[in-house]
Amino acid sequence: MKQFRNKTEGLFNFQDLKSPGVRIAYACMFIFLLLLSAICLFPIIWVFLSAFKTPEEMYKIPPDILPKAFDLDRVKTLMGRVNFVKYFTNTLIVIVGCWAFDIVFNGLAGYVLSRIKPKGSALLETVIFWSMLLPGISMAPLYMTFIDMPIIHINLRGSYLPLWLMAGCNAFNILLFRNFFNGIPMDYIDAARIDGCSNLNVFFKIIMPLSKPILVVVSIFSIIGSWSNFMWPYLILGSTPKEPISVLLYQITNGAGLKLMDNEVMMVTMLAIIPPLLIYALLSRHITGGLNMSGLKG
Amino acid sequence: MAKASLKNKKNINIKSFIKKNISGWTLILPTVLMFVLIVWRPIVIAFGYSFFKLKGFEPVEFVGTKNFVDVLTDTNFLKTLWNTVQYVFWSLIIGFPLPFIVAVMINEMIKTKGFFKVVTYLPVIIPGIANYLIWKFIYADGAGGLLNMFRYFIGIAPMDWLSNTQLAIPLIIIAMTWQGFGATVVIFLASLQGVDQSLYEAARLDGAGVFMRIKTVMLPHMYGILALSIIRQIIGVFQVTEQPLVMTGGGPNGATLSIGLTNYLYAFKYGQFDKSMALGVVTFLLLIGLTFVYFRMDKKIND
Amino acid sequence: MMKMKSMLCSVLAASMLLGIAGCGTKKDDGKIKVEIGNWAAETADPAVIEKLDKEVAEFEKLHPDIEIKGNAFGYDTKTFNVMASSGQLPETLDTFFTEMDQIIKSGYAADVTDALKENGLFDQLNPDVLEIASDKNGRVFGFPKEAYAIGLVINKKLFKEAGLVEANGTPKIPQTYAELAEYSKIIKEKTGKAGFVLPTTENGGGWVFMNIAWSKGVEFEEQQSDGSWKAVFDTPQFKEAIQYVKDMKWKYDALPDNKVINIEEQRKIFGIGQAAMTLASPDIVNTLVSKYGMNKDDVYFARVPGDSAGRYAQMGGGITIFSAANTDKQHDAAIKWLMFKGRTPVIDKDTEAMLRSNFETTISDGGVVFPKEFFTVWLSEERNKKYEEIAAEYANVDMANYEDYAGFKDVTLRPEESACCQQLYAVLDGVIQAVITDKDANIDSLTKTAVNDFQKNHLDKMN
Repeated sequence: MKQFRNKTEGLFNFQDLKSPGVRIAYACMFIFLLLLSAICLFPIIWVFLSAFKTPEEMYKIPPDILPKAFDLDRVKTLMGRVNFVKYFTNTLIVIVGCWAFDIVFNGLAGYVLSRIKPKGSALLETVIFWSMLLPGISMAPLYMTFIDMPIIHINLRGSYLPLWLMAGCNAFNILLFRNFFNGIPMDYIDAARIDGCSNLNVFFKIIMPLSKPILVVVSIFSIIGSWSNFMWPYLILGSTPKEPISVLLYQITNGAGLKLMDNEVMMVTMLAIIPPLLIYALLSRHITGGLNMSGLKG
Repeated sequence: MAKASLKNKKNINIKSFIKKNISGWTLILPTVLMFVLIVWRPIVIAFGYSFFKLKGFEPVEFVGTKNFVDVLTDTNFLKTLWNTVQYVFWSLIIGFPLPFIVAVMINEMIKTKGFFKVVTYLPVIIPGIANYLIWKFIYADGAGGLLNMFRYFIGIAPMDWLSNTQLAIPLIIIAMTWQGFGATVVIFLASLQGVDQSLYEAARLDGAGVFMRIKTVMLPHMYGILALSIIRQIIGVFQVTEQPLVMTGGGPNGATLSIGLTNYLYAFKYGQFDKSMALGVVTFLLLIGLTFVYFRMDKKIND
Repeated sequence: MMKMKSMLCSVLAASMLLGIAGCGTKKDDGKIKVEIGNWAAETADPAVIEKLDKEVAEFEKLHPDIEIKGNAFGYDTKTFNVMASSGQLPETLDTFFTEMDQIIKSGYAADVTDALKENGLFDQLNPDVLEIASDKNGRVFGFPKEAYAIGLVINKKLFKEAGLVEANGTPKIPQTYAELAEYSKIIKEKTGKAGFVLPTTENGGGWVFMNIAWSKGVEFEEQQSDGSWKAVFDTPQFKEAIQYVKDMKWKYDALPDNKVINIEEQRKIFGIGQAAMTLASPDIVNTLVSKYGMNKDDVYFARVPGDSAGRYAQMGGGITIFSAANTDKQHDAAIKWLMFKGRTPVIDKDTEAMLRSNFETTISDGGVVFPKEFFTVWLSEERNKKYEEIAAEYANVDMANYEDYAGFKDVTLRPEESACCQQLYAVLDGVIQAVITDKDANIDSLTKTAVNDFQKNHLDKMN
């Protein structure tokens, strides 16, 4: 109860909380959030439980919540059948490439639009802003572009480049960068310019180091986005040696190639979500905290 | 002296003009090229090619509006359009208010704010495809599904979930919401923290209740971000493809077939890229209206 | 600051290189390079891979101008068009008769008529089978591998548990679809397992349903005098056949809980003993035994049951197609490889050694070898006799379990419908899904919609 006295921010403060009605409402909110948290956690826990069940246990009536045994040998056997190292390496290459393209090209674009503003950039800015809300127009023409690149006529299917190129033109991130750079005092840049720095140098030496908050935000968006991306990796890398883990997950459910039982599918799913869970466990405060930073408010 | 300095200044001006424009455009050129290649050119291609019969990706014959007629007169077109509208409807009912309500609630918490934020964001980091797989198992028919397990423990017979034509779309939307709402919560929270506390104080002194404060202080502050996210959500959900592809394959009997999935199947299952592009153009024209609405609204807010 | 920059730059440069590396140029040494699909996956048994490598070396010694490379890609309706449209199909790919119509129309399979003729295969292959792989002008777009007909697969163990056994120990075989339904009900009551598994999605439902429908006298399509096609299945017979599927779900409770079942899922459910019967061809036995751990002696094959119009079994088969993106020389080289692997009209010493080696691999993989081919794609009696002689030495199944199937007594073997066959299956999938998910589904209106959909969306738009 004491802590309520410190509540000075938000919709209602300590004074409101004196009324019993508001207190009940506040308690209800808390309980609602607890339930919601349970709903967020439970499916993930359930994957771990199901992964260790035998096929018979999975269809048993009456059902059991816990598996009979957490048999780690089964994990080993499965890892022998599915080359996780390969899939995770592929995933990592996709993520790192997309991240680099995202930061560099969208960052540069944001910088040019915010700070250099060459002739005609206002129009470009409008067009880019429009692109953000433009609905996609069938995947066919873009797919066609990738399998026969204009002018150079190279088939990029089976290469990571299409995914990276797609990350390199993210209108939303360009606007995030632009908004952030708008807030950097001009003095810094002018000083550097007088020192004879080229625009590229200004970007890397002055702007980037000052932009940690927005870099964190965009990096999180980028990494989660490409980690989660399925459709294009599937179309571009599916059935090639470069399949990332998300494509593997789809392939095992529709019975192409590997033939797995339902419990094994759950185990693959479990192994696929362990790395992001671990990373999140380590960095969750930074991630959710970082997303609070300016740049999102616009 | 004066003349010389003027000349000097002019030189600097030309130099800086060049520096500004040439180097500016050079720096942004790769990004612009990517936009051309990946965003703008495909739109032009889709509009152009949809009037041709394609063999693979080679236009072989100009067929006028035949592809459009084929796509629009397909007896399933209206059904899929209606399904798609249902996806959007349910996402507005379930997916839109939830993150807002949760963000407002979390923002009111004192010590547990961080915890709730971390937990609600957790599903976001699970790869989308894993999410849909998990939810497919949760919704599984018979005793194997998690929901049916719950029904078993409270003593009622198992029922159909995704195989139920009435329930399938809302259930897919629930799975999508589970995955995505945490990301929106964080954005809304950032916006909520920007609310000027003194406005709440003033409203409180004026005797405004909680709902009045939401109406007069919070909503006006968040109007922009709410409008943006609602439009993006409608546009996004209207193109829903991979969720029904993974969870139901469009069934039962086409009950979860969306326009996006139809488009995908035209292109990548049946290899009818011409029809796919025609349907893409139709969707594009339907949705571009929404983009206009947004810009009208955006302008109004900014003015 | 510099660190950040150099880091980003090097990541970018490295990633560019990696990306481009994927499409590196191929060096040309004058050899005909052939990529063979359906190769052993890298996770396969190392012994199998080693054996394949040895075979490749041997083949390349015989044909120094050819270079063989393996590709684990296997035919899959979901990825075929993605791979094909990007020109990345391996040179050869094993697919099924039922897909040929669409593949030929799409233009992704090469015309190999001449290559088959030059290698002396064309005249030796069964013309009925070749027709399935041919277009209107008689050009052939694939090399038939095997043929089969649908039968009724029975899980002997579940039948025993349910007490459905004859005095001599064989399972009680349902002779009609009515009996099949009845037995299913008994099995469900006695064992708790589904009596029958019917695929419902990805065109599998339609494909299997044809057998039921034909035996009830359903005709699906008819060519008109002007060459166009008409959907003619708005008939009482069709409604009866659909009613049968509906009853299997709601009256006899014969089907599994899971309602979204593709062909692979069908095999899985049957293979892990969750269902007692299904309609399939003997080519599934390998999958059931080696992938899903079913005991091969529990698999029993019977003739398809009959109904008012008789017993009808759908013909199917496997066929190898060749990528149209490649040259005639490559097709020729690929055919030479397939012949090297034992697909020849005459079994000479080399072929015999290869066949023996193939059988050994199958057995070491945990698969099954039949002492005979139920159907053969080859005309030569001599070849077929010789094949059976060799196969008999390796056979590891009890043919008593296939006796009823192999005779095809009173069974009419039917090829697939001619026009828009896959689309018909897709439409039928929808009807099947509707009646097994909705107890109150209205069969009259479903039939009407299905006929209308099939006519308007597919038959009317054939060209």
